[in-house]
Amino acid sequence: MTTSRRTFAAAGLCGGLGAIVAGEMLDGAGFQDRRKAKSRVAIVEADGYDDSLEDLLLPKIEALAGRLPGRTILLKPNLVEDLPGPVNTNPALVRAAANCFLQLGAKRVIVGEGPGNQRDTEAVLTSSGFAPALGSIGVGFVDLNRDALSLVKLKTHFSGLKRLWLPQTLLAADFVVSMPKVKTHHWAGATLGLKNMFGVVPGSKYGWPKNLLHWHGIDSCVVDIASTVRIDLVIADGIVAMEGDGPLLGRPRKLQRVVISDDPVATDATCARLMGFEPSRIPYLKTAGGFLGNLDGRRIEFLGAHPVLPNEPFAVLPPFRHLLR
Amino acid sequence: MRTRFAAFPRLEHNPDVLAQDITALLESRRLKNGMWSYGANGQAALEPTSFAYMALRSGIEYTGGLTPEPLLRRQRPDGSWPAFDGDVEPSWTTALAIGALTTYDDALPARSKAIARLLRNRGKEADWPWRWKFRWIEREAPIDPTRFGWPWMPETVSWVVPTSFSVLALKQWLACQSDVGAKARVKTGVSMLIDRCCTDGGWNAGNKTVFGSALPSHIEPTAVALLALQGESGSFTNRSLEWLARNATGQVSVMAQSWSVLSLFVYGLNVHNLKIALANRLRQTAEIQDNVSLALAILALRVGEVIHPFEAIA
Repeated sequence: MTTSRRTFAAAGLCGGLGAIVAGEMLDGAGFQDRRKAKSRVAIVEADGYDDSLEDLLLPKIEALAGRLPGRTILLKPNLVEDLPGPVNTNPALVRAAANCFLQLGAKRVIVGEGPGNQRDTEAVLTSSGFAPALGSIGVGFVDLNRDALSLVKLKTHFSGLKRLWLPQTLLAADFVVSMPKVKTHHWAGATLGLKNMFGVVPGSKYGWPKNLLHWHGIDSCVVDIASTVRIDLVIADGIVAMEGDGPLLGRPRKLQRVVISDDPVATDATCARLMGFEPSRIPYLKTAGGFLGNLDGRRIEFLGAHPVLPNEPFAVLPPFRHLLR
Repeated sequence: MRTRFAAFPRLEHNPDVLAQDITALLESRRLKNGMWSYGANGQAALEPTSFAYMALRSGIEYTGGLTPEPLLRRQRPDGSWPAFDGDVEPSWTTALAIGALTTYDDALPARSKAIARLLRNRGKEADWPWRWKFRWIEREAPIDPTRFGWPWMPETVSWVVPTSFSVLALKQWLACQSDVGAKARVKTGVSMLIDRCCTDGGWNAGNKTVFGSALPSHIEPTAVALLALQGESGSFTNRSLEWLARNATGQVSVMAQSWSVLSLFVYGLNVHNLKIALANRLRQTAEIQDNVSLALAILALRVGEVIHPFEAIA
């Protein structure tokens, strides 16, 4: 019940990249190439989800986030289901990030997500450990599936969609942080900072799962959403990642890394390299690398450690073997 | 603009007193336009409004001024309802609005129009060439496209929850109407639900397997699908009922507990302990922001004493 990767790769990518050149899929009202001359990415080594995370994250967030005092920060984790295994962004990482933003002067931190499969958000919040983790620091949660909505014109049209209803909490935030779990994905190959933003599309309008986006092509919708909503920073949870049959039934894979950047394409490209994937073989990432951010490793500057390719790449389902370097 | 909730009322352990308290809370959250929003955001939406109507009007003693006008005003010319104020497209909430209007005699024309719309609406897999595509090309998440139901919104395929509410609406309609078209759609919808049943016996959104891996069931779609399957063959529903009864115990969300009570009750199972667990959960919760959960909790706490809005005579 989705437009397959092959369909997008064949029809979307070939046509899509050509259309970028032609400017046909970009909004006519002055859409700009957002790629920086150099994107900055920090790879933080972390053994686990303990109290040291806050100290590890703070200097990197301070270096990459820019001015924060007085701003409302929306943290958007990947919160999917109440399943065992590394399905969701770990709540300890989200709590640590929230504390960092508060320490750096943010006026308010909100955590928001719209789970894609489960309508029962309270069940997911409770069983995943998010409810106690956020409650302990007084940070509120907004169910983006059931938020007040505004109709927003998309800035690119790879999917063919012109507009989407989006949550007002997302639109009102001064600073949006995508906090994905680093995982393989049975439809998209990998789910990282860009794909994570699927969760902002409201179920109350589009259903559970968000089937309209599947019909218009997951890869192309990822690009349209990422080009339209702000992603000021990505903090990717790769401490315990997922390989194999992700995003729900895969195996835990200890990557022991948190990847942080103000360029979502550069973050995803770095995560893909850490997984042993060739980033440009992930269709949405290749398209996004054409105008949204830097895919090319030569245009990425690392604050500290450089990515080290794994001895063993992440296990993938057979249709995604071509992703391996 | 966000509105603020009134302070959460004192929650008593006794389910009856508790039900009165949260009923008052739900009434206090009614918007000036007569509708309810999902949370405190103030944007009127059909789902919380429909469940609030069911919860408040289910008690025979209800004397509040809840008229059908707010819902009737929002019905589209084609008989459907949009999901929320500001939206103009038909949505899955049409089946819920039908349920909310069931107890209003003067809403019969609106319900008739909505039923006609439900009969015209179907998942995209029902149409050629999508049927062919799902049968022969897209087999990663296999479905039988001849068994179609209802989508969340136009131009998408059928899913378990909208199909379940639509089947329920049609079954309740058929309790007092003779409608061959409705009977046929109920039959197809029921077969779709059976086709989408997970290997463990319950339901999730509607993908039982992806790339050969079985996906797990969830409480809410299982409970709602079982409500839609009232009156269907016992051997099939028994397995699903066992799954729900086994997994309902230990659930921690108000929504899961409420749907479990409402569903297991119509099959004659004892839900006393589940009601106590729900009452305890409500008592421990500082504030329930979600009006859908609140309305369902009222119905679950009072199940057996008031009209069950999801009961369907086959």
